[in-house]
Amino acid sequence: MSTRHVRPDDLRAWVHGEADAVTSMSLEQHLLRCAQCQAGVAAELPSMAYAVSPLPDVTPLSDAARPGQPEPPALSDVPDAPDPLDAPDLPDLAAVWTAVRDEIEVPRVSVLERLLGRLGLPPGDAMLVAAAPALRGSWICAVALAVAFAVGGAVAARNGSVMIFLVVAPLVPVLAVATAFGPEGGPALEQESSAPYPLARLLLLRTAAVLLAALPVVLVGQFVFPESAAWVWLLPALGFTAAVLALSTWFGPWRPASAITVVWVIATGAASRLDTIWAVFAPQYLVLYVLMLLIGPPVLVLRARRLGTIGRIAS
Amino acid sequence: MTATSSTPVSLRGVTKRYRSLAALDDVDLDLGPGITGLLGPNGAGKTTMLRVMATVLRPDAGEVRLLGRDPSQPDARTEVRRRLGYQPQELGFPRGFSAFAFVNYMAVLKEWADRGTRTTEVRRVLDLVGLGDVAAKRISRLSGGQRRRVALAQALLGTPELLVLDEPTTGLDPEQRASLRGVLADIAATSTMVISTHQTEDVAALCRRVVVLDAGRVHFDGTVPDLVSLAAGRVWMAAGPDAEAQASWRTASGRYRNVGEHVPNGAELVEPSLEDAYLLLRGATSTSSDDATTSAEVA
Repeated sequence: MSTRHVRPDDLRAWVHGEADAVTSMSLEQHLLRCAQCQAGVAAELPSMAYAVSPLPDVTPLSDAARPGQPEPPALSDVPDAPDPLDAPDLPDLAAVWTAVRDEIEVPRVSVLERLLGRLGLPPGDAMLVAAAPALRGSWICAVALAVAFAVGGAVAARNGSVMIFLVVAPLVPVLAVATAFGPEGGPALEQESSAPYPLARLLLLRTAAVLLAALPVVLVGQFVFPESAAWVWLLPALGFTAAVLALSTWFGPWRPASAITVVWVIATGAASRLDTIWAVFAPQYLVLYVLMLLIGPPVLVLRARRLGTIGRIAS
Repeated sequence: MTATSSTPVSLRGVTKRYRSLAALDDVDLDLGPGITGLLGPNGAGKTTMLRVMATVLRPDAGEVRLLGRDPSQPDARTEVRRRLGYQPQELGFPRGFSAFAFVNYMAVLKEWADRGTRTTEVRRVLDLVGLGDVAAKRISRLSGGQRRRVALAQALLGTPELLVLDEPTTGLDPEQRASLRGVLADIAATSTMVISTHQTEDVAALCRRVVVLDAGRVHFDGTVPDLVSLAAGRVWMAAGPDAEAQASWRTASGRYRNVGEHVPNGAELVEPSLEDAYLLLRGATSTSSDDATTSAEVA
């Protein structure tokens, strides 16, 4: 924010390559963000063009004065300095600086952003999803979970047991979503909340992206387990995720995710001890998961619309 | 002050409680164009008030109107947010983001859809707060003052009509603070700006109006000269501290500055500063009854 500018002498020395290294470094830092001094450089360049233009072939007077030497040319024969306007086209320095800054500062369009764009998401939405504050971490987390899950599942399948798979599978997307948003719904939630972009839309878009990251679990299950085990967990997983989203408007994402995890582990444990783990996938419970799935997103949208934000910052 | 339909910020009977604690207690306030400074001790309700003005917190009771709209209505709130810039007190940034990437991200949320114009605007606000040369640096590697300026930069996107800034100068060195004051003063020429701060010199330098909050209530509402005038004839330089003064501290000269009604022995009356007046007011409000309000208009 300094308002000082480069002294004309220093600027001239730099343009002509005569400035020392320290001065050059300091001056270049300043030039990057000072339009006035950039204009000074531009003003120096035509004179530089003049300086390097071919000079007339003038014989030194001392030599000319020697006997036997030809007469020196009259001053009127010396060509005028070239008009700066006639100098060869110079690059627009402002444009050059902008291009340099673009190269350094503007983040590259990520692979995920390009992919989402190809899937039909508008560029802004794709950028928001791809730039989700903790999304990269949650994607890594979700994929790591899926890989660990595949290994664990394979071991469990070899032992003839699908119990571990059925306990953990519905929790993978829930935990991935909770990880994606953090305890408060995101580190910059307060700043995001003051922007006009609908927060519920942002959350749903990111949730969809995180669920996509958890997709490998489905594929793993399909290949490793019996057909029913491969798919039956999907409904509670979606229902729980929807419930976390809805409850996050009161408590933030982590507390609902933790509560659902505890309840699910206890329920599946009790079911397998009393009868079989398949009891938690009985039709009456599947209805419950469907209800969660149907009610969760509208609650999120309505609550976020009413409050203008989500989670604990709303209270 | 009388509210008009064009008053950019209007609070009527606004109350916000956190369990039994009243962060805002039946606050009436109208703020016009220019910079208004919010002063008050920690826990006075400044941040709660700013969060209400930034539309991220709904009051439990009372009526809020921002830029002529009711932010409790979703559509009106969205419209307000299009014209609002907010720098919160507690800063949170996505991990791994550079200053440019974060402001760019916020610009998308603020509906800067076109990539080219968005890039130009992001660059403009980063230059404005003096972060042009560290735009590509990760926020986690920036100093505390620089991080605060990143948050300020996103608030300045699009030169909003209403700017709500919670302690914008905290963590800045004197040169940065002076420079930032210039930036804020320029912006305030065409907008309404509310600043919460603990720095009385920021208020003295920037604000045409000052509101002092304490325990969720407005204890002073007037101009800076009005507030300073409260301390006129009550600030004394003496050889030692005055036990009866409301505030007393040793100055660089080795003499003591005493603020209060009592005249210390051998004391010399000096010109009051805004800080003197604030301390005097704090002393008065902390010892007076709960419903006491000092106002330039009332006094």
